[in-house]
Amino acid sequence: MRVAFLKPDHGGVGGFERLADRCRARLAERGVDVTLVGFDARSRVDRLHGIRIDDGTRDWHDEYFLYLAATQRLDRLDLSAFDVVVTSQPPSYLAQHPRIVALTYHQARVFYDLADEFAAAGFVRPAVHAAAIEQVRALDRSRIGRVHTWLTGSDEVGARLRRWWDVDGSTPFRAVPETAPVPDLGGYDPGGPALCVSRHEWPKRTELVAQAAAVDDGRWELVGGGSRLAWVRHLLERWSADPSTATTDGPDETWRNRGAWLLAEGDRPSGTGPSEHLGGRVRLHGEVDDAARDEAYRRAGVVVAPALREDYGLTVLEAFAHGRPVIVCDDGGGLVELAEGTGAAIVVAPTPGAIADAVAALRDDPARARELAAAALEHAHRTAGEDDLAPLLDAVRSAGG
Amino acid sequence: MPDIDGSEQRVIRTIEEVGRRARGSHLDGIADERTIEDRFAADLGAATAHAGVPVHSRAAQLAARATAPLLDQQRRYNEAVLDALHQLDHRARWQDERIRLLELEVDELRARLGP
Repeated sequence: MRVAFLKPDHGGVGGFERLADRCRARLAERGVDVTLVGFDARSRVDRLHGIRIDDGTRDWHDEYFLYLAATQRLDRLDLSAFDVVVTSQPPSYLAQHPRIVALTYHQARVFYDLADEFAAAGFVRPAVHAAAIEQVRALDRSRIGRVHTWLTGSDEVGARLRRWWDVDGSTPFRAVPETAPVPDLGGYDPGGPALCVSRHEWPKRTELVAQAAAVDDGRWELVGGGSRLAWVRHLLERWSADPSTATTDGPDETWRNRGAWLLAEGDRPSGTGPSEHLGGRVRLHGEVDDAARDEAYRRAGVVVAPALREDYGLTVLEAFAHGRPVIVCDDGGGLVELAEGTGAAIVVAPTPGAIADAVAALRDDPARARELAAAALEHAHRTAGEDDLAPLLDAVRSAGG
Repeated sequence: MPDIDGSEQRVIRTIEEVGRRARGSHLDGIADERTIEDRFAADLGAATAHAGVPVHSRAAQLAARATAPLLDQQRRYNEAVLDALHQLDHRARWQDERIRLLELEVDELRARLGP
């Protein structure tokens, strides 16, 4: 059997490539040939379906024209040599193939569950967005009937498929982290820095953590790159220069924007700047390698995962694997799913004040922090032996007949 | 982000037209850079693959060639594929679901285009 893993190329190597490698090894053991097939999903085009798209037009809704350009490239792929195609991020599940297994973590979210937030943040004018939403949803609807099996990364994702596409009977697929659980809590220090490991992207809301750090008096670390790294640094510089603004700035204003709030028209935050802020209490690391990230987990007293309606939440599982308690926001979607019921996490309102209070409460109560940390590690060990790839392998076999 | 109202209406019209054509390309093959013949052969190849006929095999190529006369520029792409599928030996049909979907698409297309 020949299987293609179909991946839109947005630049860089992410979790899906690593997951595909694991699947490829497992399927190869069974005599299945797996090929990773990529297609360009980040290059803009000046013509779509015979219509000229100039820069002025594209700027009105870059995401829409990118989505259609990627779909057009997808349609040019010849996948006929493969028995089964495993798809990933949008729009790969729109592929023209009779046997698709859709490994789904999200739809094109700005046209679905994040549609309102996207317009509210000022990325696009509402009337333009409404037109784009209608077209994307019609295009998606016209094609998703081909999918043989929907594998969903979380209940949150399953609910989205039901809500938007009437897809019932999706199969849960819960990937385990690559980080093996540590043997014990070792030198865990509940007074260690509060840590956030996340790319700085909208709507990961790392701004909430930065602001929580600014209103707290403990140590904080933020690890991860991303297009809004400069914006988060700009905020930290603002709050370092005038700490009172950290308490008066509205939390929604800091993240629900295009990364230029309070700046003059056309201005953008500086791309460079210091990594230490607020008197050295807060470190903004930017992109680091896996070893440095794991070292940050080891230093951490608690890990904060502030994202909005996340599809899954490998950060939570990685924190558990390091035996660290977790704080998530109650609108965190997949993050909440993973955290709730473990005894290793605290769920708070999505505000800097609530996050800072939860961090301080753990720091001030080391015994409780150790309880949560122990529960985190126990959960990690309990789930480490699960065969997370089994649903995918079963679906490929079933689709391939 | 520009904010000129006149431009906004022009952009909305472009968004709608590109989206309509994107869906149409799926139905009619309008925007596919492969030739219609290539697509047709590929689809027929996929259709026969389910019955155990390799896509690039001689048998699949024969199947594609045998139905090639159905390709008529006056016909809708999916109608041609559908007719070809119906003319194939039942063992070489891909699957009923595929045929059902094609029929639905053709019906929708007809409804959209009117009588």
